[in-house]
Order: sequence, then C-alpha cells, then structure tokens
Amino acid sequence: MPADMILQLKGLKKHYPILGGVLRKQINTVKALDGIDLDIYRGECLGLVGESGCGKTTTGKAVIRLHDPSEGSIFYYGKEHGAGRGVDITGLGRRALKKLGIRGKLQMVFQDPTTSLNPRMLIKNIIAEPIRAQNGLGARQMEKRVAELLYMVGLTKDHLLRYPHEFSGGQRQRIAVARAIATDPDFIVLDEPTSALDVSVQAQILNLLKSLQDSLQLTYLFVTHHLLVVKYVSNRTAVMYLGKIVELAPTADLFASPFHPYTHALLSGIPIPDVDHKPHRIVLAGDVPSPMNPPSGCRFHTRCPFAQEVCRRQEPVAAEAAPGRLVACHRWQDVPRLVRERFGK
Amino acid sequence: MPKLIETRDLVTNFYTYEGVVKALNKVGLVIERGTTFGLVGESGCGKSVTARSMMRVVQEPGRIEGGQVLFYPGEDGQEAVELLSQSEAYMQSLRGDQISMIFQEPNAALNPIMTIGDQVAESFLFHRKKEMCAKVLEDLKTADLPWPGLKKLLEFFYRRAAADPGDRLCCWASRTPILKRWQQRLFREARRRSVEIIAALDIANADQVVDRYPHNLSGGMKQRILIAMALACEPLLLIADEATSNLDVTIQAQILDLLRKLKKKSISSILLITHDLGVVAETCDRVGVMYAGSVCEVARVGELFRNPLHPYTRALLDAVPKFSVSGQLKSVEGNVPNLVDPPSGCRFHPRCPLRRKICAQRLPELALAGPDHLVACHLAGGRSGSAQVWGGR
Amino acid sequence: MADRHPRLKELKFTLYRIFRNPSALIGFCLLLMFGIIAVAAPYIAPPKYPRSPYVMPHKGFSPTPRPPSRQNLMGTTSGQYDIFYGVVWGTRTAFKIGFVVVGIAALVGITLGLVAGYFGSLADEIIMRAVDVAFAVPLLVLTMAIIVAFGRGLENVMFALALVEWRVYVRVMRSGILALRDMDYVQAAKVMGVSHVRIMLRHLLPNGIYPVLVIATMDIGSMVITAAFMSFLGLGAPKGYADWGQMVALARNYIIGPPGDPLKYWYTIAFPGLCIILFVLAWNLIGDALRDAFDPKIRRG
Ligand SMILES: Nc1ncnc2c1ncn2[C@@H]1O[C@H](COP(=O)(O)OP(=O)(O)O)[C@@H](O)[C@H]1O
Ligand SMILES: Nc1ncnc2c1ncn2[C@@H]1O[C@H](COP(=O)(O)OP(=O)(O)O)[C@@H](O)[C@H]1O
Ligand code: SF4
Ligand code: SF4
Ligand SMILES: [Mg+2]
Ligand SMILES: [Mg+2]
Repeated sequence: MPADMILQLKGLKKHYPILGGVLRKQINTVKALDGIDLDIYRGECLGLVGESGCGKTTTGKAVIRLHDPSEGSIFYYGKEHGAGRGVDITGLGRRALKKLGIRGKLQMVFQDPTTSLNPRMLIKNIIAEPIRAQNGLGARQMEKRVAELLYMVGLTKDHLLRYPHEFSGGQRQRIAVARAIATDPDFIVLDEPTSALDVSVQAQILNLLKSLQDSLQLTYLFVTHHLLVVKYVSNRTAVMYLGKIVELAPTADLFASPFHPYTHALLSGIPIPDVDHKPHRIVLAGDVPSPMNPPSGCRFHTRCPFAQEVCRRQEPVAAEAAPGRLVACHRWQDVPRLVRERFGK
Repeated sequence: MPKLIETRDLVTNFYTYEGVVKALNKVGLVIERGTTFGLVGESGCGKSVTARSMMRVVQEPGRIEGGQVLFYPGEDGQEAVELLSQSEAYMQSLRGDQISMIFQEPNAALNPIMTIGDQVAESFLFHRKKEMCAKVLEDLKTADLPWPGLKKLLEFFYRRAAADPGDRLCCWASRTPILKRWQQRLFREARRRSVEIIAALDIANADQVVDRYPHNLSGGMKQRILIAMALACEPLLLIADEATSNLDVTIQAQILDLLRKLKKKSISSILLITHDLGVVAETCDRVGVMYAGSVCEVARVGELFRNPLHPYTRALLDAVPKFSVSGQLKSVEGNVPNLVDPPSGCRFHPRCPLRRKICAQRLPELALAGPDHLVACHLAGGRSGSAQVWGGR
Repeated sequence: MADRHPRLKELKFTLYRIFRNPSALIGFCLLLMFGIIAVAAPYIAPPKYPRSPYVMPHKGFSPTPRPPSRQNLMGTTSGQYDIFYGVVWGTRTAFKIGFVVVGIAALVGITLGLVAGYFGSLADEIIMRAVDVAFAVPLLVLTMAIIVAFGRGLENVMFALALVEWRVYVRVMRSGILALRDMDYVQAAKVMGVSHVRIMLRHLLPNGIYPVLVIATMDIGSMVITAAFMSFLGLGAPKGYADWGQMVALARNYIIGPPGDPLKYWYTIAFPGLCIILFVLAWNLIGDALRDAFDPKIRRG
C-alpha cells in the first residue's frame, strides 16, 4: 500500500430504493454506484468524468460521508493518524467524525453556487459557519480569519456584509470555495464547480482552484462531465458509466490513447473550440440505459459498437492495461485497432 | 447568399425593480438563407433576448424600444417585411410556420398529458391543414367506403376545408357529435406524417414512440421531438436556443449530427444560440459574438477562430480549455457588468486589456475589418491597424 | 459605514414588494385602525370596573335594544349592554384570540413540521400520524368536550382552537422542509459538521417559514370568526364579555325586527358584525399580499 494514499474506496455500492404503490413498498432500486474501487493519492487531482446520472455526485458524496453507502468501505489515511494507517470511516456517524477531527478535513464544493449558499445568510456568516462548527474562534479572530479566506479566493472585506444574490455566479463560487477551505481540509470534492459558470469565469475559478491546491497542499476529486476541463486540471482521470468505473488512467495517457470504447466515444463527442481540429466522430446510438435495470454483462454493450456475445453475458473485470492504467472491457486490446478500422483515425 | 432575416439597431429593455435592464444595445445581425448562424456569448449577454425580440416574444417586463427586424420571405432576399410594425396576427402566422424555435428546456415546451404523436400531429394540423385536406381528398377518390353517400359527404367537407382551413361549416361539424368524425382521415394523415418525421430524426421505432408521453422519454429524445415539431412545417429559419446545452456529450453529438444532416437536406437556415464555442466551431457557418448586450464581432467561423479581432473574442478563445493546447488558461479579469448600469462607450472597456481613452466615451460601431468580418472595436478600424496592435496570431 | 446595513436593505425590498400591492395597503390601514383602537381602548371607552375592563357596563336589564343616543353612541343591545364599549374592547379580545391561538398553533406546528421534515423516517411517521388523527377530530366536538371538561370561557375556546389548528402548520411546514432538505446549502452545512439544531434554525427555518407566515396571517382573521361562531353557539365568552361574537350572540333574537320594520334593531348586529368582517378582511388582504411578495418565482437573484 503506497504511503501517500489519502482515501481508498473498496467495492463501494449505493442503491437507492424506489418506493411505489399505495403502500410505499420498494418496487425497485437505482443502482447509483455498483462497486467502485478507487485509490486517491495525496496531492493529486483525480478527475471523475461521465454522463449525467452515472453516479459521479453519488461517489463524491459517499467519499466525504454525506450519505451511507449500501456496501463497501472507505478508508481515510490522515496525516495525523500516521503514515499508512487508515481509518475506516464508512460507518462513522457525525459525532465520531467530528471527534476524530475528520469532518473538517473532507470538504466539498457543489455544482451550483446559487443553491449551495443559503440565500438568507450574510457572506460573513456563511464562511464563518464551518469554523464555528469545528472549533470556534473568538469574534476578533473569526473576523480576521474570514477576511483572510475571502482574500485567498480573490474577494475583499467589502463583500462581508452582503447576501449571496448580490454576487455574480463566479463570485458566488469563490465564496463556496472559501467556505470549503475554511476548516483547513486535506481533501475536497469539487462537484462540477464550473458547470454553472461562463467560460471566462470558468477559467478564473479553475486557475484559483489550481493555485489553492498548490498553496494549501490539497487533494481534489474533480467531478465533471466536461472532458476538456478535466484535461486541464487533473493528473489522473476515471471514466464512469452507469455506476462503474470503466477506465482509469493518467490524464495525458487517457486523452492520447484511450482503451475503452466508451472513452473513445466521449472524447470524440466533445465539441472542440478549434476549427482546425476536425475530429473523427463516433456517434453512439441510443441513450444511457436506466440505472434501475442496467444491462447484463458489460453495461455498455447496448451502445458499444464493438459488442460481442461475451459482452452480453459476462461482466468485464478491471484489467491493468499498462502501469497505472485500468480498463474494464473484454476487448480492450483490440479497441484501438477496431476504432481505426471502423472510424478511421 | 440572399438575406433571410436582419436586425438593425435593436434595443430591448427590461423594466425591473432594480432599474431598467438595458439588455440589447443596438444589435445588428444578418442571417443569410441556407446558413447556420451561431450566436455565442456568456450567459446574460442577450442572446435569448435577441432571438425573442426577432420573433417578438420578449417576456415581461421587457419591451422592444427601437430598431428594426427585417424579414425577407422571398427567395431572392429583396423584399423586406419590417416585423416590429406588423400586426400580432401576422406574427402568429409567422411563428412556428416560417420561423420555429426550440429551447434549452424541453419539458417547458411539451405538454405532459398529451402523447408525443398528438403533439407533433397538432403542429401539422395547425400549420398544414389545408395541404393535408387536399391530400385526403386525393386519397378519397380511390377509397372504398361502405356507402356512396358517406363518400360524398366526406368529399364535401374535405373540399371545403381544403379551400379554406378555417371554414365555418367544417368547424361547426367538428364540434358536433357523430358529424365530427369526418376529421378522422385528417387525423390519420397527421399521424402518418408525425411518424414519418420522427423516424427521419434517427429515432428507432417511431410508431411506438408516438404513443408515449413526454415523461417516458429521455432529455435527448425530447429535444429531438421538439426538433421534429419545429420542422413539421418546414420553416425558413430554425432558432435553437441552447438546445443542446443540457444534454450529455454523447447525446449532444447525436443532436448536432442530426442538425447538420437536416441542414444538408433542407435548405432552411439555423440560428444556433449557445455559450459553447466548441459547438459553434463544429456546426456553424457564420458566428456572431455578443457581450453585455452588444454584438462585438461577426465573421465566418474559420476566420473568427483563426483571426479573432475583438479583444473579447480573443479573451474568450483563450479562456476555453482546448484539446491540443495545455498550460495555463488565460482568464478575463472582472465580471460581466450589470446591465442596469452598463459601462459607458464600449461595454467591454472595464475588462479590456487594450482599452484607450476613447473606449469609455464612444460606442464602437460594427465595421468591416476584413472580408466578411465585422468588428465593433475602436482599435480594429482596418485589418492592418489591428494587426499592428495584436501582432500575428 | 456609508451604505446601510444589508438586512435593512433586504427589509426595505420586502416592504416594497408587499406594499406594491394596493390590497396590502388597505389591509394595513384597517389593521392600523384596529390596533389604535385596541391600544387606546381605556381612553376611548373608559371602563366602569377598571379591574375587569372586559365586562361590558349595562344600565338596566331590559331585553329590548335601544337605538344610538348621546350616552350610547352605537345604542345598546339586549340586556342594555353598551355596544360602543363592547366594540372597542372587543378589538382587544379579537387580537388576543388571533395572536394567542395562532401563536400557539404555529409554534407547535412549525416545530413539529421542522422535526418531521428534517429527520424523516420514524419521527416523521409518528408526527404525521398524529396530524392525521388531529385532522379526524371535528372542531365542534372537540370544543364541546373541552367546555364540558373545563367549563365555559374564552380561554377554553382558544385552547380548543389551538389544539385543532396546529395540524395545518405541521403539514405546510413539513412540505416546505422536504423541498429544502436536499438543497445544496443544507448538504454543505452537513459536510461542515453543523449540528442538527443549527441546520434547522439557521438554514431550514428562515427559508421555509414563508408559506407558514402567509397562512398564519390569514388564520388570525379566521380564528376570530371561528371564535365568534363558538360564542354564537354559547360555547365561548360568557354573557356580557366584550367580544364581538358574544355581542352578535346577544342580539340573536333581534336580528330581524318586528313585522313591518325588519331593520329596527340594525345596530345590534351591524357594528359588531362589521368589525368582525373588517378584521378578517384586513388579515386576509395582508396574507394575500404576503403570498405574492414571498412567491419564490419573483424573488430576484
Ligand atoms: N436521493 C436519491 N434517490 C434516488 N435516486 C437517486 C438519488 N440521488 C441520485 N439518484 C440516482 O442515482 C444516479 C446517479 O446520480 P448522480 O450521482 O447524481 O449522477 P451524476 O452526478 O453523475 O450526474 C442517478 O440515476 C440518480 O437518478
Ligand atoms: N424576464 C426578464 N426580466 C428581467 N431581465 C431580463 C429578463 N430576461 C432577460 N433579462 C435580462 O436581459 C439580459 C439578457 O438575457 P438573455 O438574453 O436571457 O441572456 P442569454 O445570453 O444568456 O440568453 C440579462 O442581463 C437579463 O438580466
Ligand atoms: S466489454 Fe464489450 S461491450 Fe463492453 S465496452 Fe468492451 S467491447 Fe464494448
Ligand atoms: S473598443 Fe476599446 S475597450 Fe472596447 S474592445 Fe475595443 S479596445 Fe477594448
Ligand atoms: Mg452530478
Ligand atoms: Mg439564454
């Protein structure tokens, strides 16, 4: 086990019951996560991409213990616990997390800053709240700390006594970031932090996040559906499809030579803001199947251009395609050739 | 290429509690026949308001306060109709018939308690009734009916309806029990056309999809149904306002692919509104860039991406993550201005790295800075001038 | 500091939205009038028995009402009680009924609704079943039971009303909280380790209370009507108590005058009746305006 691991997910599952009928009986389950194994290393930015509904947010929320997973476990390797000594935080309640000092170490920035900031609280109180919840400071110190946090995210003291609606989207996201770093965390889940923002503001926030990562030695789980953003910020990237990770690789490798057919399709589907870049395009047929009844075998087989009989029957296990690269596909060795033949790359 | 629709100095304001939101600041655009025109800009810059002003469907508390919208219905693009001075009835006949609109949020546009087929058929019945009645009349000639009187009766109704879709007698008959069944053949025809057009949009088992309700369909599917409804009457202009922005990459790829194919098949023009420069680069012929209610730059797509002249366009292009380039993204300092109290002169000047004194004083006009390349910037008077300022790219 | 405090600005904006509505203005004027009357009651109609000002003074016991005169500005009702005095002091009674009943009911209802909505599962199940039971109890039966058990009196009527009204507040509050519970800012507060009580008080209550405020406002009026109805049935305030409902009850035999002159005793009904109507109207108008002002769709930003 590498000493610099910070979080480890083992066989994580999250099934939401669907209630129905007059008696509110369980009629089905949404398999939002269906066995996620993921190691997150200290100081890295791990990208998590996939289409909406594939379970990215659920993963992020599970990691920071916003909900209880149905199965599997999460280990946290905090600095204070000694190198390589993990704490199983899967079953820990709110109080236990606080007592172990873990609650403040795992934070999250949400997708939409309009809904993640309480509209009836002043910025001052929004940013002070996590500090108050963790240890509390004297009024004077608190004021100083809040001002310092605001400064770190590029806002000024003048903004303290305002309500969220008086800010633009980008500024609101800065406030959300300030709140997330208020408790001096180790690890932050960034759940689509720029999806609700405009391009010019997106670049500001991405740059801010990058510089904060350097100065505060943060580890990020960067959740997004925007592949070019992931390419810009993350060191490693995991691709999710219907509650499973189908490919995991260093970002540069993933973009240069993807193995999984789904990754191929995703990459080729990105509209590239560059007229000289004429991509070959793999247009997938059909929609993402419902996570209530995921397809048998390989979940991607209903849309995969290279599906074979074995794909329908047997679920592929993640194989180490190259050092540090995992791919879950029966035919990953053939895929680059198949793509070349079929779509001419 | 002949013109199809044009706006001149369009000004639209919103009267809100905070003050007057000056949403459009003399917007001038030309959309030509058979082209895909992309309108890009950050949210709140007035893209939707521009489109809505063109169709005169600006929401409360907005008002169109100045300028012209010229529509060229003829093939040659000579005769113009000024839409802002037309009656509401004229606009209604235009909307959905010659100009169709699809929006970002498909749920708002689909009726949740009607089947997909009925909704698509409705748009045929609304706009193509006359033509369909004529078709049914044609079919009736060869039809076998149980007794000749019925055939006579049906022919009577369809002949009247084909002559005038709003015929009083037919309308009355449509509301009378038993008699109203004369329309059945018309409905069947509308349904046939619906299935046909849905199938044409790469939707598998179209004949089953028509019997479903909107909540049974995915977002991408709904968006396709809306496109089907918009295309039902072969509009001259299709306005797609962020039609793919809520969709996933793979689904967006499908829809864009579809739009491109449709473009090739029918000659209709598309006004594609989006904030995604990637979508623009891949689908559009010409592009207009908007910032804070003004149009900054209009050019052919290749020209715009290779040789952007307006500082805002350049900033925008530098700020998006790209496929090939890596390294630091250049962000634009500052925020989009509040349009209640917009900056004087060039609205971009508080954030512009190249601003001069004149920028805060005078509004730059959209002017030719190269072949088919319009720029609204004081520093882009001519190609050579701008090249000096920015150097080659 | 140059600019005003943001909370003031916010308040000003809310007031602007409320008073943009003319009906709110009318409502507030009416309410202001009632408020002044209630506060100044001892000066407008000095009590005869300062220890128990709510007992209406009466000269004589004749059951036939007397029309307005110099001594009795609005005439006297059956039993020679002074209508003017009753109307003035009845205003205090009306406010008392409205505020006490709605205050208790809303406090209980909001608390339970918050708990049920936020915690869900077992707490929700228990509270909502209790609400269902409360909904099954008819108001009249409950009031009568309480009167029988504790004796006649305005306090007991108010108690009965509060016992019935809280159920509405639980439902409204709970449904609001259910919508807010999964909002990102609540989730964010959880990630920060904020305690449950604080989440409920700082995040859920301030955002979810508006629908409750609207119905509470309207309820103040309707509680007064219901209490008047109880008094009319003889379940409420005792005879001679300065309460509009009770005064209407006193005049029940004189609603229609003798044959040939049906409007002879109009003043016995008109003054207290008008007060009830205006009082209810005032609260309803304000409630309506609040509903529009708090409409989330027109909340800016
Ligand atoms: N609270 C919930 N109850 C039921 N289903 C849920 C809940 N949250 C998420 N889901 C389902 O789980 C799946 C994954 O959701 P999510 O993690 O939010 O996806 P993503 O963030 O990748 O878009 C979706 O199909 C969603 O419908
Ligand atoms: N209904 C409305 N009420 C008030 N202001 C509006 C309304 N609709 C649009 N605006 C204003 O008009 C401007 C342009 O909006 P819009 O055209 O919707 O932007 P976008 O480019 O994102 O489509 C915005 O600044 C917005 O504040
Ligand atoms: S396992 Fe089969 S169906 Fe799945 S991605 Fe690989 S080739 Fe396609
Ligand atoms: S006109 Fe001036 S401020 Fe505006 S874009 Fe050009 S240089 Fe910048
Ligand atoms: Mg998500
Ligand atoms: Mg828009």
